[in-house]
Amino acid sequence: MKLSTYEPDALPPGVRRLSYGLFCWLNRHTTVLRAFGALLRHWPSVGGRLGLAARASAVRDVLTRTRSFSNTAHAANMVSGDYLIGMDPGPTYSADRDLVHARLAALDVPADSDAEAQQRIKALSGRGVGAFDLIDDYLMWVVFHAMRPLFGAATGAVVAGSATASAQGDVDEGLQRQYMLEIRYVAGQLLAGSLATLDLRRRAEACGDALQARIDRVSGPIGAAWGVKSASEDIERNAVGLAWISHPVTVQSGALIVQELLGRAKVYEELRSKAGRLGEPGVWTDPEFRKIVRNHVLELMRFRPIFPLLARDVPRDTEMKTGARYNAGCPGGGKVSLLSIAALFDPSAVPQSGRFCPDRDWGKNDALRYLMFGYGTRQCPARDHAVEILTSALIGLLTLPRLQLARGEGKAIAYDGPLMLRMRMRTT
Amino acid sequence: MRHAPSLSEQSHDIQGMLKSGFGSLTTSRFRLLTILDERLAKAWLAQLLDTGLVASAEQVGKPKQEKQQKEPLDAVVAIGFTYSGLTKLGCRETSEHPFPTPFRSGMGSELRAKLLRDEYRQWTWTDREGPGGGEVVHILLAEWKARGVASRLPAIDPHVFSVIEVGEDSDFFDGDGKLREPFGFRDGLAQPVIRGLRDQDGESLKQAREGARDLYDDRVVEPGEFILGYRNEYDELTFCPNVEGWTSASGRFTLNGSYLAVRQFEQDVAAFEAFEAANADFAAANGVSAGEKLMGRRKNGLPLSWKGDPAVPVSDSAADAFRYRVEDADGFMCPKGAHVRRSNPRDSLGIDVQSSIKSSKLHRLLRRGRPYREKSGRQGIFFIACNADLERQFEFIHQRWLQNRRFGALESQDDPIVGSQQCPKAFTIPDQPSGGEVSLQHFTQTLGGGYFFLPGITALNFIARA
Amino acid sequence: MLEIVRQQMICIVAPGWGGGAEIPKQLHDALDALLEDVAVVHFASIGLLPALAGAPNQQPVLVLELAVEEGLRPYDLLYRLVYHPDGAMWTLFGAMVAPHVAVPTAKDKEQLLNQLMSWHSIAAGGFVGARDRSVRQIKMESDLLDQTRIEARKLKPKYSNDRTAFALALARWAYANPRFEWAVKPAPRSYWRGKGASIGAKLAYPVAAIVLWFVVLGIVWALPRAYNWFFGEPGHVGRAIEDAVTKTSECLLTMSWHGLLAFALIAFLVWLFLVPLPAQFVSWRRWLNSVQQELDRPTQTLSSLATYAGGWLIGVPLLLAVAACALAYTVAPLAYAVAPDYMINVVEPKLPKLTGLQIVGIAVVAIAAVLCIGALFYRLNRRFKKLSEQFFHPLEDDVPRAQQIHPSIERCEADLVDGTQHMFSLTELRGPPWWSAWCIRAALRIVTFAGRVFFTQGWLGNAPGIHFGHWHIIDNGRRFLFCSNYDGNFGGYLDDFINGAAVGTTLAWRWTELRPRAPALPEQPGIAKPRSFPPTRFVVFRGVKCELRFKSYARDSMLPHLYHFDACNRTVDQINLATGLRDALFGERNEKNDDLIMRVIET
Repeated sequence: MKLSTYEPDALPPGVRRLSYGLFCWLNRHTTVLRAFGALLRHWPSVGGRLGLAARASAVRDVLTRTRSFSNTAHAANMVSGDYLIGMDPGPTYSADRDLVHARLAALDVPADSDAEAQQRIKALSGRGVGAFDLIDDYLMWVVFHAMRPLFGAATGAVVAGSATASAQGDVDEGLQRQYMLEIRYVAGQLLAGSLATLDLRRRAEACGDALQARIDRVSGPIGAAWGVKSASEDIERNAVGLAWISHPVTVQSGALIVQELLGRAKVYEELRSKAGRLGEPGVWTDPEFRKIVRNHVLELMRFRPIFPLLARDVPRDTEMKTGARYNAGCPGGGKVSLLSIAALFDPSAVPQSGRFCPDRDWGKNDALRYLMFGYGTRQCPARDHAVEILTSALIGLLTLPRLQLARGEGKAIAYDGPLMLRMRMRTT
Repeated sequence: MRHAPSLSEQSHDIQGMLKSGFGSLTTSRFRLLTILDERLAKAWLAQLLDTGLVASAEQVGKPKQEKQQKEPLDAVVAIGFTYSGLTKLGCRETSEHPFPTPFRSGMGSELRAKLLRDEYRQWTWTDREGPGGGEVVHILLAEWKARGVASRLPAIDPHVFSVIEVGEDSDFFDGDGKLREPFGFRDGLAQPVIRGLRDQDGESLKQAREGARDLYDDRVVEPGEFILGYRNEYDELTFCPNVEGWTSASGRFTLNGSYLAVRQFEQDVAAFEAFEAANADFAAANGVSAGEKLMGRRKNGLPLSWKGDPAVPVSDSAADAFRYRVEDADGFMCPKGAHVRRSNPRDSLGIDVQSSIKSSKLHRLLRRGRPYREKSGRQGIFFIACNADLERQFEFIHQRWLQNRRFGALESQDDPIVGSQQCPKAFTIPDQPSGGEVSLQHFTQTLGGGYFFLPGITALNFIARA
Repeated sequence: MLEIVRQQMICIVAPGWGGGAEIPKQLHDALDALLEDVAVVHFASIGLLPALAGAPNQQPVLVLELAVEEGLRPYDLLYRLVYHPDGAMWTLFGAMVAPHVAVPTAKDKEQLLNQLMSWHSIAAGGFVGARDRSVRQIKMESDLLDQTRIEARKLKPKYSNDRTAFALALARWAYANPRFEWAVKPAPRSYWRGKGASIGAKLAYPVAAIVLWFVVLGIVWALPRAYNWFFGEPGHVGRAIEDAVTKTSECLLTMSWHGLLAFALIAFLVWLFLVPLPAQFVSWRRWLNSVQQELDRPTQTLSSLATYAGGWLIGVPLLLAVAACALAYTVAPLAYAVAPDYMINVVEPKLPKLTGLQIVGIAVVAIAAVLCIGALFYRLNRRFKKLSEQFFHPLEDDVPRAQQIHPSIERCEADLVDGTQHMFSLTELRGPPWWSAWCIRAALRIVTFAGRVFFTQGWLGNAPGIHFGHWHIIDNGRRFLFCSNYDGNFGGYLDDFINGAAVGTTLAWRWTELRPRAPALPEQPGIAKPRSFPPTRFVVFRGVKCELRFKSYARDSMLPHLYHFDACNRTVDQINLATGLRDALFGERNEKNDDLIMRVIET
C-alpha cells in the first residue's frame, strides 16, 4: 500500500501559485492552448527544444513508443498508489489489464446509463423550474450507476467503507455522495499534476488515504464479487485504481461537454429540436439519433479534452519526431509534454479541423478521433463505455427544456484548480 | 522606595552552611527528627540556639589570617524544617506569600515521585506520606565537627523527638584533607561560588582565579540562586514566602533562608567494584577506568579531558576549570551521559557558549551533603542541595537531566549513577571511530528524601521562641 | 506563506460541553485510534475553558487542539476526521450538535462538519520546530534509526577500527533492505530550509521587490513617450496625459530614491552603533549592554528607573527626530511638486546651507560625542564605587503568590513527564480588545514570519525543543489562547523563552491580562485575583524578563488537558538526528556522513 508522506514545497513562495494559476487558466481557456499549439505545429523545432510535441503525427508517435516515453510520468500524481495508468508494461501490468477488461465486460452500457439518466431527468423535471447542479444532481449519478457492475455485489460495501451486513444493500445517498467526493479529489491530483499547490495535493493525499483505508476494509467482499483469488494487495491496488480513475474523469468530461455545447447555441438548438421531434421514448430507442449524439459527444470532447496537456517520462536518451527537419533530443531522466489538443486540431490530419463538425469523415485517421483517450495500446480500456455513458447523459439533457448556466447567484461554474466542482444550470 | 537588604549586611543572619562546606570539620553526622511534642521541641530548639552551634555565615570561613587570631569553630550545626515541620511548630504561611508548591507538596508525595521520575521508591524516611512509605520527618539536623571533638548538642529526649540517625560520626577525608566518597572519587568539587559570599575556607580568591584562568566567571553565581531575598541570575529578587505573626522590618520570614533538597543514597561499593573489575580491559586500553567514564571525572577529581599529567596534583580550582562545547562536544572524553555532565552540562546545551553558561547557571546547586557510614557497613552519600527555587533548580536537574532517558539525543539511558531505570541498562561511551556500550547494574539506591527549609537565624529564633 | 504555517495549528472552540472533567476511556481509545489511522495529526489535546463571562451558556467550552502536517486545509482535515468510519468525532461533539443521536446519518455528519468549521480557529501565529516532516516520515525515520543501531551492534566487532568500512557496511545494509526503500530519496525540505536557506536567497525577495517597483515606474514614465514616438506629436489631451504621467512618475521616482536613501542611512547608523563601534570601543560596548540590561531589569533599581526616564527624555525624542527627518526627506519631492514656490521661497531659506564636508564633520563629531557620553558614564560608575553600588542596588519589590502551581496542572505535567509536554494558557485581551487584537496579530505575524523564514533549524531564537507553539485569538477577539507542545518541562520551557526569545514572547503576550474567572469545573484552576502581564518598557523590554511575575502569570493562566495525543513521541533533537542519519546513510560516502553515522549509532 502506498503511504503518502507529503513533500514540502521546495519552490520559492509565490512561484508555485503563479505557475499553477497559469496552468489552470490555460486548462479553462483551451482556445489559448490551441493558438499556442498552432504556433508549435508551425515551428515544431521550437516545441522540440521545449520538449513539446504538437503535431498529430508527433503526438501519435510518442504515444505509440511506450518503451521510450513511459507512462510512469503519472505515477507521481497518483496519490493513492500505483495503478495501470502509471505502470510500465510487465507481469503486474498485464494481469491488472486483464482484470480491468474482465470488469469492464460486466458493464451493461448503455442500458444502465440510459435507465439512470431517464430517472434523474424525470426527477429534475419534476422539480419544475429551478437551478440544479449538473455535476452533483445529474452526471455524478448517471456515471455511478452505469459503473456499478465494476464492484458488483460489493458496491454497497465499498461505498459504506464497511463490510458489515448493513452495508450490503443500497446505502444511504449521503454516503454515496461522500464516496464520490473522495474519489474526485484523488483523481483531481492526476489532472492538476505536479504543479498542484501543496494544499490541493494534501487534500488529494488525505482522500487517497481514506480511499485506501476504505478499500482495505472491504477487500474481502470485493474479491468475492469479482470472483478472483488474487492476493489481497492485488485486489486492493486494482479496486483503488478502478474506484478513482473511472468515475470522476467521466463526470468531468461530461461537464466539459455540456459547457462546450452551451457555448454553441446553434448546435444545441439543432440537437434539441431533433430530440423534440422524436419525443420521449423515441430519443432513447432511435439508433440513428443515438449515433448523431455520439458523434457530437466526441466532437465536443475534441474541443474540450480532459487532458489537453499530457506528460511522459523519458527513461533513456532518445529522440522525438516533432516533424521538424531535425529530431528533438530527449535526455533520459527528463519528461516530454504532449499538447494533445494541438494534435486534435492538426489540419494535416483532421479535415476542416477548426470547424465544429460532428459528422466529419476522419478517413484513415479515424483512430485519432479518440486521442483524448490516449492512443495505441495504452489507450483507455473503457473508452467506448465512457462515450456511451456520456451519450446517454447528453440525450437525457436534450429532453429537458432549453438549459442555460444559472448566473445571478454567484458564478455558475465553480472551479477547484483545473477541476470543475459545480455547474449550476437552469431551464428557460 | 527602599533598598532591598544587602547581602554584606545580612551575613550574621545567614546560616553558615550556605557560605561554607566546612572542609576543616571532617566529621559529620545527620539526624532526622520527627516532633512528638511541639512545646518541648521548641524549648529544645531554643536550647540549641543558645549553645551557639548554629553558626552564621559571618562566623564561618574567615580568611586564614583572621582565623589564627580568633578561636576557629570546631563544630557547626545547621537546621532545616520540612513543610509539615514548620506547620507543626506553629508557622502558618500567609495567603499573599505562601511557600512554593514543590516545598508544600513535599518530595515524598505521589505527584513529586512522578515528576522526579522515581520509578520505584522504598524509603525509610520522607517529608510527606507517599508511595515510597517511610517515616515522615520534620527537622533535619546536620552536624559538622573537627576530628575528635565531642558533640555539644543538647540531649535529644526520645519523648520529644523520634530520631533517625544517618550513619555514625563519619569521616571520609583522606590524609591530605580531600573528601572522597565511598566509590573513591573526590567529592565536593564544581561548587558554584556565590557572588559576595565566597567560601574562604580553601584557596584565596587570587589563587582560585589563577587556577581557573579565564573560566572563573563560569562558576560565579548570583546569591539569589541559593539565598532567598537577593538578586538572582535573572537580576530579580528571589521570592520570599512569609508566615503569620512575623514582624521583622528588614524582610519576610524566609529572608536569608534557603531550600534544601535532601536525598539519602546507599552506595553499593561491591557492585561498583565488580563493574570496574569486569571492565578492567577498558581501563587498561584507555588509561581511564569505565567507572570514571560513568562519573565523568577521574577519581582524583581531575576532569577526563585533563591534558596534563594526571599524577601531578593541581588545585581544585584548576581541576574544575573546563567546558565541553568546543573541546569535547561529542563526549569522546567525558561521555554525554556521564553523571557530572548531566548534573552540570556547563556550556553544552545551548546555542553557543555564552548563552549556555548563562542558562546553566539557572540550574546550579550548592551541595552540602557528606558521605556517611553505618555500623552495619551500609555507606553512601547524604545528599543536601541548597537552592532558592526547587522547581527551577533541583527538580529541573533531576527530571530533565539526571533521570531523562532522552538527555541530549541519547536513547533510553538515564544517569548511570543515580538513574532509576530498570537494570541492567546500557551506557554509551563515545569513542573513535564509534563508541561502545557497557552494561550497568544499580550502583545506588535512594533510602529517603525530602525538602527542607533552612531558615535565617532570626527566623530560627522566631520558630523556637514565638 | 504564513497561512500555511498558521493552518497547521487549529483549535476547535466548542461551547456547551456537557460532559465531566474526564474523557471516558472508550472515547479516549477511539480518538487515539482515529488520529493514529488518519496519520496526519502530530499532536492533539482537549481542554476545557471556563465559559466567557456574560455568555448565555455557562457550560465549559471544549477546546480541541490539533497540530497537523503542513499544507492541509482545515476543511480537508476536519472532513477526513468527521467522515472517518470510526465516528469518534461524533462521540465527542455529537451531543453539542444534535443531542441523543447515537448513530449519525450522512446529514448529521455534514451538520457536524459545518459546525466544526464555524468553531475552528487557525493560529493567529505559531512556530513549528521539526519542520517539513510528516508523521509517517518521523515514524519511519525513527525505525531506521533503531534498526541501524541494532545492525551496528552486530557489525561492531568486525569493523570496530575502521570508520569508512563500518559506515559503508551500514549503508550497504540499509540500501539492500527493502524496508527502507523510501529513504533513498533525500529527506524533503521546503524552500526556506532547502534552496532558500542562504541569506542571499532571503534578501532576493526585498531586492526584487524594490527593483520591480523602479522598473514599473520606469515603464510608466516611458509609455507616453513611446506612444508619441510611434504616432507622432500628440494633441491637447495627449499632451496633458503625458505631462501628468511624467510628473507623477518622476515625483514617485524621486520619492522612492529618497526613501531608499533615508532607509539605507538609518540602517547604516543602526549597524554602526550596534556592530562596529561596540567592537572597537569597550566603553561603548559596556554602556550599550548596560542600557539593555537596565531596560530589561525585572527588579527596579535607581539605575533602571533613571534609564527608563532617560529613554523617554532623550531616546524617544531622538528617534522621533530621526524618523521625522527621514520622512521629510522622503516626501520633500512631493512638496516641491505640489507647492514649488512655497518650498523655494519660504522653506529653503530657513534650511541651513551646509557643504558635504561640513555634514560629514558634524556627523563625526556627533558620533564622537555619543561615544564620549558612554565612556563618561562608564568611568563615573567606576570612580564612585559606593554611590554606584547604591545606584544599582535593587529596590524592594513584592511579587504576591509566586511559585504556586495548581495540582491539576502539575498532574498533567507528571503524566507527560516521559513524553512531549503540553500546555494550554488562556488569558484575556486588555484595553480596547480591537486594538490589542490588532497589535497581537501584527506581533504574531512577525514571529511567524521569522520562524518560517529565518529560524528553520528547530530553534525559535535561542529557544530549543518547541514542536508546535501557537496562539489563537478566540471569542470574537476577547480571549487569547496559547497552546504548545514542547520538550522539557514547563519551567525550563519558560526559561528558554525568557533567555532565548524574550522579545517575541513579550510581543505576543503583553497585550493580555488575567481577570477573575471561575473554574470550568470543580478541581480545575480558576483565577481569584486580576493580574496584568508583567510591565514592559518601550514595548519589547522587561516583560518576560520578570521571571517570578511572568512564570506565575503563565502558571495561573494554564488549564489542564483532558486528553493528549502524541503521534510519534520523539524529541525535536531525536527527529533531527534520525533525518540526519537517513541523509547520511543514503547520501554520498564521505568523511562527514561517515562520522555522522558513527555518532548516531552510539547515542
